[in-house]
Amino acid sequence: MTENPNSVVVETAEQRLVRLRRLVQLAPHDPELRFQLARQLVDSSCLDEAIDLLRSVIAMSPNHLDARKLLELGLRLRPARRV
Amino acid sequence: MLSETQEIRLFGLRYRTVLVSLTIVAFVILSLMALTLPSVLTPGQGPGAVDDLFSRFHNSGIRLFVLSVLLGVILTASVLTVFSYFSTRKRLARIRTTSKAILESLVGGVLTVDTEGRITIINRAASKILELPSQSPYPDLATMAQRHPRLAEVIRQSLQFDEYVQDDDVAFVNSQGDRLILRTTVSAQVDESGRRVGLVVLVKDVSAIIALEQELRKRDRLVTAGTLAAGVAHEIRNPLSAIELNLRLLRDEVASSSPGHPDMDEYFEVLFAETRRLNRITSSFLQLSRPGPIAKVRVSVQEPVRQVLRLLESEAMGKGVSFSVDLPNDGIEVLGDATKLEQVCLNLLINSMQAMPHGGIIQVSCNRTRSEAGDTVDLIIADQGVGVPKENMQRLFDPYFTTRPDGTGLGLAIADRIVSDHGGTILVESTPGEGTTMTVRLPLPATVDGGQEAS
Repeated sequence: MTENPNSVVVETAEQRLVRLRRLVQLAPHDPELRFQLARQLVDSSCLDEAIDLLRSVIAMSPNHLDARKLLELGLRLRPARRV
Repeated sequence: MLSETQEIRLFGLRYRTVLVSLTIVAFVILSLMALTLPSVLTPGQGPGAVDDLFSRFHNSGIRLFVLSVLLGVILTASVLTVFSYFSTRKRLARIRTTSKAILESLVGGVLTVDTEGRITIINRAASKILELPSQSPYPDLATMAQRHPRLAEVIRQSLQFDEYVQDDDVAFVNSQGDRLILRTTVSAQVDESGRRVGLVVLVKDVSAIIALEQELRKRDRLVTAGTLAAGVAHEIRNPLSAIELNLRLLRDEVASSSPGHPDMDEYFEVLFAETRRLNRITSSFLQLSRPGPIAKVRVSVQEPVRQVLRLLESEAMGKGVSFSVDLPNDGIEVLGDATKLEQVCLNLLINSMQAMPHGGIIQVSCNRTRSEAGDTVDLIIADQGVGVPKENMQRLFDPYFTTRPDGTGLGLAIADRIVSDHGGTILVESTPGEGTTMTVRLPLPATVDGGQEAS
């Protein structure tokens, strides 16, 4: 029996989070990996952790436009989610 | 060399001259011979009158003929001289008019000076470039030295030592405050005998050419950097992660095997700091190498600015920086990519904020401008920062050029590249200690690519 080459292995949000966390742990000073993790955390509604992570990304790379936008979004969502 | 038309004219002149001369000679001969005829003489006078007049020649027909020819030649020479004088005068006037027309039509400036250094001729272009009077009285060398010290020095040296220059670039700040680069060539002006009678000075404003050359060199460097960046970033990132991981393991190992070693923590801190720096550089590399295609659609210039100002508001407040914003309410639209333009604003504003460690005001404004190149919109960001030293101005947008120890030198390079991809340019004015004004000049849709909007 052969594996269907067109089949796509879908990573769950949880698996993705675990993988990205591990990557960030391995390379904690890579702003891109941190940003990827922060994006996943926002999607998973872990806003506090995402915001901290995004702030660290901006400190490392001040011109990171996407990180700044995501931080603004996270900051806007956080109080709303808390209510 | 004479042209065909000039040859024909000259032939006509010679023909006329010969004809007139022959007529004169014939007239003189006939007149003198006629004098010998008794019928011509007045009654009562007889040949005696002629005898008195030509006492030596009246008996000899040959002598009379010689006299006639001599008189004819003298008269012919006189006529020829008069003809030649008028014709030469006419030709000189024509040559002068032609020379003047050629001189005045030259784009480059031409001026001549005599051996004393006084200007004798100056064409319109030279007068305009050097801001000197186009009519006499012209300034002397001493007066010229006040406005053009370098040029005056070149002229003085050429006159004094017979040393001439070719394509020497001389800087000159004109009355508008623009810094011009004048490419100057000085050569000797000699007369027909080869004696030097002065100098010919050629002056050409090459500021635009030099700026273009620099721009092209910069673009070349950007393209090279972009191409290299992708490969380098990918090649470096993976081993860098491995280095970082192993460093951590090593630190833990060292900490457990020889605890309480004070220097060890410091060593590791340095290693981690350098790893962080490398990470930041590779990230910026990737940003530069992945500019992405620009989706040119109609976008308001003000919107990306407002968006970025919102993003930076709290950070700016924390650093004692405030924004003074003057943006027109009606949207000024350009053809471009809103996200890319946001990146430009972000990079420029971050740069301004970093230049103001003690806080201050950043003025952000936007207005339409009209120039020969077409209608444009200027987005102006003026800070009160430390300013840019003159020697750094040319390299400001060069990739990897930075004056900050923690900078990557790619923020402004990326901004410049994006603006350039939009058909625009970034202009910089700076006074060290007072601040810097960056103007992002973007073409308005009618002038982008000959008015063709991208789909």
